Amino acid sequence: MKNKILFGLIFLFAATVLVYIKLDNVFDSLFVNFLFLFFPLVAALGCAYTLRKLHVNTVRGKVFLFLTLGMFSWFLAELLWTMLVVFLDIEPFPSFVDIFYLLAYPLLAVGFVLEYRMGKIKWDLYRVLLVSSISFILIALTGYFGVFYAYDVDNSIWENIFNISYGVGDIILSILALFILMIVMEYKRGKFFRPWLYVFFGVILMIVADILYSIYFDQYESGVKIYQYIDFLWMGSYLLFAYGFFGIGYVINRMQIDLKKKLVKLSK
Amino acid sequence: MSTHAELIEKAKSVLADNFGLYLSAEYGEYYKDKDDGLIVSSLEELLTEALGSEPCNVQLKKYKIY
Repeated sequence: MKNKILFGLIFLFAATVLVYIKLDNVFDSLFVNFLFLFFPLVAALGCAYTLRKLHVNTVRGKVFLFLTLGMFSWFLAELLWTMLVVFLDIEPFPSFVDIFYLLAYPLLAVGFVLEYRMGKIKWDLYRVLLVSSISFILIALTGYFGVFYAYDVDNSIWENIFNISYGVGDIILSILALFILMIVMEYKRGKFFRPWLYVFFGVILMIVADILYSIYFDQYESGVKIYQYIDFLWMGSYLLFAYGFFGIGYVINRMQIDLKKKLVKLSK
Repeated sequence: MSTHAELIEKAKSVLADNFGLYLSAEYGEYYKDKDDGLIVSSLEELLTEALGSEPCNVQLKKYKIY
């Protein structure tokens, strides 16, 4: 089943890339606008699947409650954005839609911190140096392009507030990426290792996409084709989230199946 | 509460928090007539499989099973 989901996700991504390459301006395509929505949706469903396996009244269940809410917040934001642009021809920035984009950051933050707190990370010199150097690079990049570069004196106060808020959100996401990296390093001999590694790369890809969007905002919004390909990074990020979050639920599901087999064997 | 019953409750807690209520409940029933050594080694196996050996030790110490 896991391989079927992986192939399905890869097929969806490949099909979307082909559509993007074929069309002159993807923003004019109703089909592409709605196709993009599959990606945050599958990420949210991956979280929801694992939450269902865990139950919300458990510690890891609470992790996935917040992650599910965060992912659904991003899906809702993408959906509302698409509805406003496609059906009402309204430029949705800044608007109430941004609240859903921004709400995801603290929700995901709580989820990742709760997962981090389940374990006990051993801080040796290697890890301190690794985390420090990566955090410096990520925070510098997101801080510069997401906050400093995002401020425009010609924008309205609300545009600047929302732009800078996205930058702050990306800084938070950068720091969380490091928490996730610490988790990944702890789980390196367990089955949770790979799923969390996918989630880590999903966060990195999301940050890269956000930075590129900030740098090439005008070209992207003008519909210059090559800059529309920044969407591939967001899609890739959502797919990595989907596969990672689903992967954790899959491990738990396998444990449940193995237990049932064991109990059936014992009862004979 | 006897030590064996306490151990089962702790086992259920660590399993619930890591793998959900279903596994916790089912293993709780399974452990009822098993000796303490088997319960601990079962927990070690499950946690090591999912998390790795060091996080497994962290979890078992955290829930005062070790």
